[in-house]
Amino acid sequence: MIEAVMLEKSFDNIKAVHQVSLSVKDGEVFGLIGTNGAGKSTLLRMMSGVLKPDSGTVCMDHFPIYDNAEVKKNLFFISDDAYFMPNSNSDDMSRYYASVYDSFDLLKFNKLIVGFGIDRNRKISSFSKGMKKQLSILLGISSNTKYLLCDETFDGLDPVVRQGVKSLFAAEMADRGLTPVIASHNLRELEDICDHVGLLHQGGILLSEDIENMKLNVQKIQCVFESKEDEEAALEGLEVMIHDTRGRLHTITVRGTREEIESRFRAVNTVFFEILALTLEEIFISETEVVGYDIRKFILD
Amino acid sequence: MTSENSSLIKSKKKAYKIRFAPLTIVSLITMLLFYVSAVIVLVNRAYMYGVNSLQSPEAIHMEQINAISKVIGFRQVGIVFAVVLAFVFALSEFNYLFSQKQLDFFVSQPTSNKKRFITRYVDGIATFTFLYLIVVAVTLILAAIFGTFSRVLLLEVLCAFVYVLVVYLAFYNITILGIMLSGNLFTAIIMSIFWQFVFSVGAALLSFYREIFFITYSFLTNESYFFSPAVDVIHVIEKCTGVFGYDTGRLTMNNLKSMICSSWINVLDIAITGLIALFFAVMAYKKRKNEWAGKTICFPIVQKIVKLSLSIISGLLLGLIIYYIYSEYNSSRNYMIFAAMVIGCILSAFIIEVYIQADFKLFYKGIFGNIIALAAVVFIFFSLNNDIFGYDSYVPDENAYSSYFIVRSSTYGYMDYFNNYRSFSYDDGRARDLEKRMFLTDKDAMKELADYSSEYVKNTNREKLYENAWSVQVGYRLNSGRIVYRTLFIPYDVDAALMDRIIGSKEYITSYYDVFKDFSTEQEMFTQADCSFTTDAEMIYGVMDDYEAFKLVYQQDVLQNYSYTMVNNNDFVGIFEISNYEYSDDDYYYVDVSYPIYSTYTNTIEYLQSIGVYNDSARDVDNIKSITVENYYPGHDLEVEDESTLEYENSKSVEYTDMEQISEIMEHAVSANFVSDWFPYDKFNNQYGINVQYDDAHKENDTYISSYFFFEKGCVPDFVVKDTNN
Repeated sequence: MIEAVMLEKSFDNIKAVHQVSLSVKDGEVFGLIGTNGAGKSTLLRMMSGVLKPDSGTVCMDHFPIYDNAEVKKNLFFISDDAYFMPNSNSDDMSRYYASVYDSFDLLKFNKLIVGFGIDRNRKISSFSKGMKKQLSILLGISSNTKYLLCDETFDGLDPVVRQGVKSLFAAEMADRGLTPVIASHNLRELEDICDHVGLLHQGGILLSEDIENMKLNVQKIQCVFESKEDEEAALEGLEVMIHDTRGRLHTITVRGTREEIESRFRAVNTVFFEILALTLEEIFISETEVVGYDIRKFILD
Repeated sequence: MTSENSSLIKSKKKAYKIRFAPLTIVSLITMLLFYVSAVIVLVNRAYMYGVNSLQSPEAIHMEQINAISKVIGFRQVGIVFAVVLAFVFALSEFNYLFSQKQLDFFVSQPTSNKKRFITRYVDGIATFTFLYLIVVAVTLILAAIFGTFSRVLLLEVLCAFVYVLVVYLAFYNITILGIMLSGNLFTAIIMSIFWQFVFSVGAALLSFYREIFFITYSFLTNESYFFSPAVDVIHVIEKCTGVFGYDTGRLTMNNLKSMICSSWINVLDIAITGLIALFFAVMAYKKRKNEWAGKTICFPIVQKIVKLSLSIISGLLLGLIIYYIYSEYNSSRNYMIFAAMVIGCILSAFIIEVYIQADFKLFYKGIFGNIIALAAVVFIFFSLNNDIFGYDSYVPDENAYSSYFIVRSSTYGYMDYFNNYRSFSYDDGRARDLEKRMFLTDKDAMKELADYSSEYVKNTNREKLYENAWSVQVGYRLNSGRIVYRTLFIPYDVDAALMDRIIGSKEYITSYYDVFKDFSTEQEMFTQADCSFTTDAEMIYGVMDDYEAFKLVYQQDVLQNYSYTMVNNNDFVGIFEISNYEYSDDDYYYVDVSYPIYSTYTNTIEYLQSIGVYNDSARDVDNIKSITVENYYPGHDLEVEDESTLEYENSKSVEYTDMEQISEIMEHAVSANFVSDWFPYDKFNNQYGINVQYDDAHKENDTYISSYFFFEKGCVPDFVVKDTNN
């Protein structure tokens, strides 16, 4: 398990991460989502031991990660802009990693690289951005580490490769208990694969929850009320996250279980109401709008 | 070994190859090209020169060994490779610290920060050591192929190998320190250069300023440059080259010992600087944060130190530039220097702040540091301009020093000769030679002389100091072992009795005259040597058959007669010179010595007469064919006017052949050919130059003698004044 407790990190006068606490359980896919500049990359770097927290702790299996070679044997960090040795090809990089990670499996890498159609002898400097990301993922998988930290790794992959990588992750999780931590803006992709998400905003954590629980506790309702009093009665006591109105049609996002919301709306007079399924993206937008992060306001103001 | 382990070893080797192969190969090829070419060229040159000069095979062999010593020994210019590669390898190993991308890659790997540093640090050293080993091995193999090998050469190469590694380590560590303190490559380069030169540049600037402001600053002052490996490397080359004198030295065990003894202090400074740099580099590495990649100077305290140092140095540099532009002394020059120092300091503080902040609008930040830098510059100027520490008035207490020496430039009175590849001339100049040999102990006389000097300096405009005084360099040997050097100005009207106490003392005479040195082992050089006696009028040649006899009489005469009063009266007769050379298969030397002869040196004159070279008819006017008197300032009288206020126009010359006129001219003429240390310039009228042409009958070996004279002040014949001022 990777556990972060009250992590803080500042760069000059800018607070990049502010009192972030979260846990990544073994065997689950942890999605790290957040607005631009939320601190995802900084958090991942602290989790991979690249940056030292200003305060707070981040531990892997109860051992601090920073400057701990033993602990780092269990993690592989794929950064947003991966680095490769100058003048190297895929073969060279695999051999390099084999010299660094005791658990690196050259056979597995060779199989994967053939499967993904990457030319092992071609210079990596001539690869496209997507190909480099693919290579990074394959090297990470082949390192056979317990944790794989991926910073916006899915972004830039074509749909076919993305599916392939998801399958790979799933297989690795099933075979040897791989625990991926994936930071991404691509919430649709994360929704498919993640078990748990952490939502960061302006350095702080807005929520850290299982996706299923998250979806269970936020509902989106479309309805038409008979009267204003019915509207007030229905929404009284509920935590309304977003309330859009077009004519008499209301679109409301509220916190609460489906049963709770349903019973509340059945108790008032509505022309109709319907509870809709929320996507992760919609939950993300709702949660961030609550804290004032609404791009529409910037455009319309 | 399992296939897995074997594969892993290959992986590690492959990783090393990926990182280093191109750089290592290029470095090796470049070094080999240089060293091999140098050996081939220099060894062949030594051979060709030896053959053309009819040197013996043994001499040629020694020259060739010397050539290889110059390529791969202590004197090697190839030390530049150690400096450059230290810089390049250090950057290559640690430049990942400047890139977040590379930091993500390397730091996330299962290696501790300590191990990462050590691995890379050792890599850089091992790579260079390996390269240099190959170069040395190839060079020695070449030497063996050429047949130019000796045990001494091997020993020198081994010692030089250690020296080169010390140099490499120092520059390597300093560059790593620069990297640890910086966030980007450009700043790292600047910081490396900064730490290499800040101490030596600062010391040099302060030395220049002392020379500018302090009248008594002496050129003999040994400026010490600590923590300056670049300066040390240059000094090592200079000192080791100096051991071999005029490029004719042989590589002997003695020379090797001399090289080591003369330069060990510099090597020690290099080593200590390297260690200190490593210490701070490690400290910085531990404190360094990975998010500093891309910054300029990482640590705030270092920012302040660098800004302060560079601001002060820039101010001093600009002041120095103004000094050299306005090299003529004037009363406002010092204020211009001050203004330049202040402007240079402030401007550079702003520029450095802009660079650190990477924002033009933030030039004003760090105002407190700017104030400190400015205060430092003002203090430096104030303390120098007003001599608040009493530099110019410094004379050590008589109990604080054991002895002293005095150096006045002299044309004659020293020996300069060579013997079989070893130079007996002054290793480090005449002044340093006297420093080693002269131990004067009359401190009371020294105190009086220093008082004379102080009084003269206090009452004389700075630009006129040299007009009415001799300048001498004095070195006080303090009891602590340090030597303090000063320039004294001895006015021409100094008390002769005081000067005689010093100049006429046995201590002075026996250390000043090289004839008192013991050259007994080289007596064969003076046997059957050519000699000559030169007066104002002629040069007479002869052959020296008994140097020992000459030496004895000359020593006797000097001890009995030499004094300030004697030389000040300039009762000079002529110069006796001995020269000899040998250039054969058996031996190779050259000797040339000069001895001034005064009229009171009766024993020496008797000896010179015995070998048939002495002639005192020089002043016989019957031997003079004509005299030409040149007036440099017609229409003026320099005995009452100040020459500096006059503009030079065309001079006027008049030739005299009338014997009466010639006699009158020669009656008050003083020879300008032979000028002693204590020549009384103030007694002579320098408006007129007298050129005497002698009768052809007194030519020797067709050598035409003409002599130059001055008039004594107040003794210019009226007819000369009249003829040359119309």
